[in-house]
Amino acid sequence: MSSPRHGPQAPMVAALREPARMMALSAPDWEDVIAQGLTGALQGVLAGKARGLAEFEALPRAVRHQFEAVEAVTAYNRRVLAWEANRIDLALRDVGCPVVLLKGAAYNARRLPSLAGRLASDVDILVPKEHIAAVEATLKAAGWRSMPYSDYDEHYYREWMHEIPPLQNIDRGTYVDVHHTILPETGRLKPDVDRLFREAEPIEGSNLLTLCDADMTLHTVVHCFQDGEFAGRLRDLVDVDGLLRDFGQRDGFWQRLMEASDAHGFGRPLYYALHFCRRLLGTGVPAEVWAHLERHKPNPLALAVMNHAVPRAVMPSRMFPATAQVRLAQTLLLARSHWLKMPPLLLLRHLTRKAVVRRKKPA
Amino acid sequence: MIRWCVPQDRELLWYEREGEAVVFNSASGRSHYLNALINEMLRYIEEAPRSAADIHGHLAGLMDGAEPDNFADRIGDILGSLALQGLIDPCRE
Amino acid sequence: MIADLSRRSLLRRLRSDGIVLDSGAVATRVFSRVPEVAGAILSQYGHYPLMDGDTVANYRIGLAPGGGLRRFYRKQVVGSVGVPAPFTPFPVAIAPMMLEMTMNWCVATRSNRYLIFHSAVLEKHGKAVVLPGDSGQGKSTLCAALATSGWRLFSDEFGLFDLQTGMMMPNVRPISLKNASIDIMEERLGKGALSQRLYDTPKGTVAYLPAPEEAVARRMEQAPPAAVIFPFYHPNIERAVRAYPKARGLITLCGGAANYEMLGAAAFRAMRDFVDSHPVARIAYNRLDTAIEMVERIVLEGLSEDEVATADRELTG
Repeated sequence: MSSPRHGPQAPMVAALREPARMMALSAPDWEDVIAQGLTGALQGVLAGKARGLAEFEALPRAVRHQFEAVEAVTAYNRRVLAWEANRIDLALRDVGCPVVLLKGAAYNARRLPSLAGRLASDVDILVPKEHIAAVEATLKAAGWRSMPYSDYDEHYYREWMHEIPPLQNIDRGTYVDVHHTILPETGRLKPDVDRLFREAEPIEGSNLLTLCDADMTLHTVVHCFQDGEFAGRLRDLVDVDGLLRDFGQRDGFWQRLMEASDAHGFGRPLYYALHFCRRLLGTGVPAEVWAHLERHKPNPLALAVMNHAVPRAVMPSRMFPATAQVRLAQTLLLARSHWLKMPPLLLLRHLTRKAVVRRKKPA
Repeated sequence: MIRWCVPQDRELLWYEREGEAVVFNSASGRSHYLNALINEMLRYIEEAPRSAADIHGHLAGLMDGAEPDNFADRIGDILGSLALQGLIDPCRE
Repeated sequence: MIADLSRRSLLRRLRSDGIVLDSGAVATRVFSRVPEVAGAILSQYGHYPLMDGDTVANYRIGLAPGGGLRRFYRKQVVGSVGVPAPFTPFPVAIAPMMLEMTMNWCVATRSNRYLIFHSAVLEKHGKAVVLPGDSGQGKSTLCAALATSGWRLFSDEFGLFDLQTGMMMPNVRPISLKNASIDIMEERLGKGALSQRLYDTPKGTVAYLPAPEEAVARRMEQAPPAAVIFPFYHPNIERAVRAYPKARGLITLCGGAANYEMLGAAAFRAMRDFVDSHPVARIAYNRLDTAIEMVERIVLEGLSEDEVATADRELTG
């Protein structure tokens, strides 16, 4: 009898939610979990949870070895993030505006334990819109360069998205994404960017800052449910779960989260994020938070569609190609996210153009 | 005047033999081969913040007058390389 | 043993649960619908143990038939590893090579528990010798010669250093020989010793020497590295040995490890300690037997004072 492919009882999801269940996985299930850990960039998180088990040494040899291998990779990843932040800090020391680390570089700077197993080494920074040209120029003078994009893509990035095209460091080959807001300006949701800067917190020994705990959490929340692609996004839910576990211990965090959510107008995405985190990952959410978010709950039909589509679409693929069902679910969600980002007329043009461009590229 | 230093967060691991060295920068993760001259320069800067003039004087003293031509320029170039690699930073006064 | 399976039964497993190839450091589960892959496994891995259903493999790979017309005409095979990877389809006749290349990709990218050297590794007298080098400089030929004259094969391609134990770990797989070295080894070992030649591969003509049975049987036994020797076949040099000056030896050794930067301070310290008390040298030779002799001597006795003193000189006769 084979295990469920998606939902809370899928071996990968169960292992993330209740690490003790790893001790009872069958060999085929273990291979699936390792494979999905690989495709879904979740091996590091799994390794971290396995290390917490008293009987880690009793796990199958290949499992232990793969976890040890990925621990080398995540340790390396953390070092790369710290070094990149160091170099960016040095380069932007005198640029005269706040520079806020986002996502992985921020989690690393704050040493958040539940996010130590993340695997992503690009650095994202947030700077005020009026300083973006100065920041870009300063970074270029200090050894970063623009990647060559087509005029169309460059236009897409600058006008319709919320970032300049990524800059690459000439010496190290690493990327930095410079943002002036956290969501595309053409999208429906409009975050309060001034609030983000106002509440940002300095990092000791550095000129850089990070978002406050509530804003950091909401940033990941809106990326979970308002981004370009949804294939294998279990790792975003895992990030939200991690942040809630680490921050949830702090005094007043949930209150701050509610206030921030109201200030930015992120009630619906937050509802979805907490809903699926609880369902799949067992994240603990206080009752008063559900009460506060009740008015952002989607209508029953929309919720039913999401309940069906999300658990299937967020699953990372295993060795063999995704089943037709997963592919359909991913297409549904992809269409939805593009819709949220851009006005309908622009959307049609953009999708058509992207399809044409993709076909032109060599096989 | 710029002074160069090896910052606190920059733990360097060394292997020095027969006038050559390999240094590992634990912050960047990179390893570098250093000839005798650069080895001495980096060790000198590691001890305390130094200006280019400090370094020139120190090395000249070790060479007993056998300075190469354009030594100051050479030192400047090497400092630039070391800074680019993140082995040294300009220090805040 | 895998050879105990009938070809049909092997193919049936490849099409369903896959077959696990256990090379020591890692176990790879292979899936395929391509009959030539079953043939490749029988000829290269027939003498490997048949692993049971409780085995968890480190990697899963697939060798699929080419798409479209290529399923039926001028058949192709293409490797896959579950994530985007640069595998293109190749003629099905070189399926054995696709199997090796796909497995190599997994080791090169996912065995970061070990410090990975692009090198051959073999053991004798309880000591391991590491022979780094790119293809085409004689490393594989020397490796095959050593593996068939009393040295236990660990790997011809990936030297895996276990930072936890300070020892080399075997990853026992067939030795790949290219072009001229095929003729050389056939002359030494006789025609039946090597697999059939594969023509027109991306690396020219290729043949495989299956891993010796003892190497397979002892694939879980580590050994401490005793020397790192860079081998150079040179038609005009009968024999020459030069030590690397210590610091240069260290940086060269680190440069030869694919994931050295990833493994950071632990790798630096381990390599530093090794170089400080073990030989790192280059050797040049024009006869295999001379090379074998030099390797054995360096591993057992180290370098002579003269070899160390002339470290700075070019490697000439």
